[in-house]
Amino acid sequence: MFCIFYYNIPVHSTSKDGATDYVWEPNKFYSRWTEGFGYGRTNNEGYYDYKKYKKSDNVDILVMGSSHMEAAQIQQNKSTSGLLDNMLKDYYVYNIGISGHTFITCVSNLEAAITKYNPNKYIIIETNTVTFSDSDLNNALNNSVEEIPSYDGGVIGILQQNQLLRLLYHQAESFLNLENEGDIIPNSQTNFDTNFNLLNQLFIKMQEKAEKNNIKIIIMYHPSTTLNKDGSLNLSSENENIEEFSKLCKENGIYFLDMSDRFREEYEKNYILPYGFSNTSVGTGHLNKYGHEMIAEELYKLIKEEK
Amino acid sequence: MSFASIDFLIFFIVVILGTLIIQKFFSKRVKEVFLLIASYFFYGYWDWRFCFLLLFVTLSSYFTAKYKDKKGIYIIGIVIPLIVLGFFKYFNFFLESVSSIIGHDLGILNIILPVGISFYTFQALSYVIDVKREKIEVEDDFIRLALYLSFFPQLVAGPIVRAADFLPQLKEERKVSSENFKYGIQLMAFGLFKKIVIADHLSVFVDDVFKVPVAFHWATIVLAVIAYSIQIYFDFSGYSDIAIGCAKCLGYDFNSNFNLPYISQNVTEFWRRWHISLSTWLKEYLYIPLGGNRKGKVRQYINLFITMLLGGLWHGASWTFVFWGGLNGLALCIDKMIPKKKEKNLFDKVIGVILTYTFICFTWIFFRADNFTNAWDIIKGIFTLQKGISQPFVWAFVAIILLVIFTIGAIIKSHKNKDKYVDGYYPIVNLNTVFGLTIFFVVIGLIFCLAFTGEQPFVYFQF
Repeated sequence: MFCIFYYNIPVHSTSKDGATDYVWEPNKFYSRWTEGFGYGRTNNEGYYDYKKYKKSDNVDILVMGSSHMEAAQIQQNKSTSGLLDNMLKDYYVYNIGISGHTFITCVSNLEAAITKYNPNKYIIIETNTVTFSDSDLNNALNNSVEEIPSYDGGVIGILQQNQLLRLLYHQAESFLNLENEGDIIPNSQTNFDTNFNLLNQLFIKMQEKAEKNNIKIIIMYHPSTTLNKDGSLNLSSENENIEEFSKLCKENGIYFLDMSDRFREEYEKNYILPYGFSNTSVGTGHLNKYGHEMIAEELYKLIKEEK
Repeated sequence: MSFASIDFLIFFIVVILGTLIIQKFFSKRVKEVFLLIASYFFYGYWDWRFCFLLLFVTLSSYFTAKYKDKKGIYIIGIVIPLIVLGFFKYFNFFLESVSSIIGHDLGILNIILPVGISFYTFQALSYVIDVKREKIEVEDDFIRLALYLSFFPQLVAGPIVRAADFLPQLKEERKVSSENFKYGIQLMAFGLFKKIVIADHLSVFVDDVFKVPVAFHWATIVLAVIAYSIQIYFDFSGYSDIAIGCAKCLGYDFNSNFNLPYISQNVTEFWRRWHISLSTWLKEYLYIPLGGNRKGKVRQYINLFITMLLGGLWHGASWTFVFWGGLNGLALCIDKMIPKKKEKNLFDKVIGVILTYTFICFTWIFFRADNFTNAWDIIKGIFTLQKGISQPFVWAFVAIILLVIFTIGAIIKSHKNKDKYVDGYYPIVNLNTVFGLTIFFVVIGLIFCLAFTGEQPFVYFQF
């Protein structure tokens, strides 16, 4: 009973169509109050989008990304895609953001996602870093990105259905510090520089797919935040080569939305941080409702300008 | 090894099973040696070198107490634990303070602060002084004295058990029994709940605000100060509950260390309810030897102030702790000056509780702050109605509600028993019934499910 509300996560299984590496159990109630107080129901495909997907649906904007886009910590209609869907009345926005899907994983799944959903206008790919290792870029170029495994069969699959056991496992795992954090992807704490030649090749490859389907790619970057001793905001974008990344996007016809300025402005004017919840540390963790609002508004502006 | 760790769980199971087997097949002596080895293992788990320091303090107390009538040796018995404490805990603080006064950097030594040093040196002092005062007899049995000073439940963060309370228990036939275990394990669970569910979650919020107070809204800062008052209470009283429960499981009794401190109507009452073993120690071994209230009012105030100043310093080698102690000392003096009403009505009591709690929260700011600038930022933020990040931290409200519920429960219980003095109580259930067992396992389940799993050591380990 306790776990139904406090920690109720569906089991995930390998995705058959490859648009994402895995999907959650479809039409399942979920809640996770260990971070924020989100709850809702997975849709018929096993994503956290509040709309049911039918093959005949005409998707205009497809949102891809990690747990930030999945937005399990807030109400479904308050997520970036939910808000964007409400703002752009004449567009159908569909969200396949799912935990652990880094920018590289999303790029690797791009072709399958386009094939399946065939979006008319845009594909939005979320990332919290613009710094990538050579091996990641090479893997994405060679279609050899390692898939996120699902353990939905056998004894582990059965055990996973017991939410109490799952919560206890999660607690024990973090207590013993063995947790292989698949939830939030660490960003920008890297000791390497992005090989922009490789990145350029990847962008060319991505753009080829997009042009073939007459759609535009938007890369949405949201930096992490920390507070300095004097109360000012520190953004991880300050340690990344945003300028070069942005230039490369432009050269390849990819839209790049950097949330840094908006995050800073919102903090300096209204003391609002895009991350953190009323039951977690301030300014860290997943995007909160304000973070999603800011991103949705900026995406809306960008799309409106392009319309 | 922290109480809130898997290592301790394994250690505790081994100690309980070992003691059970020993008490069945071997003599009491074997049990004492076993518990002594276990205690040294527990302490050495942090750093094996600490064991030698503990042994040194034990040896010095053992031999000097034997020659209590020789003044010089008695003084050595007092001075050795103080030197050990002074060197390991305060030497760098002393160097830093002198450096800032003379304006020349004297550097600092690379000294590791052994955990629990403040606790076992105070226990060693209490033993030597009590022997001298003839409150207890000299302990000829080295193993027993060593066990008293190193007994693992209270070794690293108290309660400070006086020799007069514990040594006699070691001479008695104390056993691991079903009754003791059922009671002790519930105290441990209760303490664990306070520590890893409430205090540790609160620490996330408190740490955030105290790290960058200038970034937060004044109301959030106020909430953080309140949250800290609950965090430190639940953290330290939780540790004490685990220690008391752990000792109980092994058949030994420790006095309670906290008794609903936040319902105190004045600061004097607060210090009777907060960290009771330390306040009792300070009273008996510092305040009374200084003259207590026997040398007139002015001397009493000075004695009180000095006692609290040193009590503050005991908590940590920092001027913020000294200031915290000084504030409490000042408040105790003022409280002594104010004439007391014989009969208080409910309004007076409530006002007393609110004023005392507000003052105690104010002093906690200095206790928690890294330095005076940090404390000033907190105070300034509140009084200038600072704008900033609002964080209505849910666990703070959960903690406040729980604290209020337990306090009201204790007040009702005291009224039913027609007690004038409200005492805290442990919600002990009968584990011989299905209902009791169900409740116990539900609580255990909740502790595991709700526990904060990040790194968060007990606050009092640093002292």
